[in-house]
Amino acid sequence: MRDLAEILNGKSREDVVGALYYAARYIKQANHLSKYEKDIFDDDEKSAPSPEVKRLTWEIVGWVEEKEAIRASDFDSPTLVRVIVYLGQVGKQFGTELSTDELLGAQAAIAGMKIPATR
Amino acid sequence: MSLADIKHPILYSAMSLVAYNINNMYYAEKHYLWCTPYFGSDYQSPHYTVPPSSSPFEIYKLYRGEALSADKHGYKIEQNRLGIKKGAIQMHARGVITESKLREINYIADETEKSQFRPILCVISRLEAVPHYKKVDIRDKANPLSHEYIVADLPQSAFDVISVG
Repeated sequence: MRDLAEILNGKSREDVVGALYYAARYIKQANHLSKYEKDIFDDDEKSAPSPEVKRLTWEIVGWVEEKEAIRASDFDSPTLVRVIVYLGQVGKQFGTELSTDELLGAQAAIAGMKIPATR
Repeated sequence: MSLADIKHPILYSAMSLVAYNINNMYYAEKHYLWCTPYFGSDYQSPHYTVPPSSSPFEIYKLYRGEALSADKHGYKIEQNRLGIKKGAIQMHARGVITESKLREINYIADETEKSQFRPILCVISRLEAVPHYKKVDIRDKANPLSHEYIVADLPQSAFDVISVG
């Protein structure tokens, strides 16, 4: 069985992050999709995934299902959690180097997060 | 059925505090929301036909469970980290943010502690949302109770934020 890294190798960061996101979305909703006729690629047109992101999404889903030896629609809760957490961890490997200013800016943004006034 | 055609005055949406703050800090207080006219407090009711994974109340509880009780057995925050990064890539492609800001958001999504992903619940005026309405699912045509809507670039002024429970 191929490694996931082998599938993602050579792909752009944009395509990989997009495909991991939609794969996680599919896995989360797989047991509801037929009942609710959901399209996991639904988004507003400015945010719509490219054909390559869609193709890569299904490749990732196929890899996951082969690895787990079960369809995503039949995942139990612990498997669903484990798989989505894993996809998130894979996404972190596709980070980018920050300059010092960018790092300081991001850290300031984290420290400056505000809780909105609630009604 | 279009968002303009339904009768409900209020829409609901849940998101993480991290996403909310990124929208405010990097996207000029414009928000991208999936929303429904049903809060989803009883998603098992036969009248509530949006899937449980789309219930604002269920999403709210998932975030709260993972963020505030250090629940290590959840997926919602990891999924949100991916969603924030994917959203930033699209904002960069649209020219809303620079490459530098894209890298900052990527770092924020990956490095912000779980506790900061606590949920907020957005209560949205439908009339305010209509101009920002982007899409309705195909199934909605068949079932008027299964509405889920995407609203994009929704200004902060169009909704209130509340906390629950």
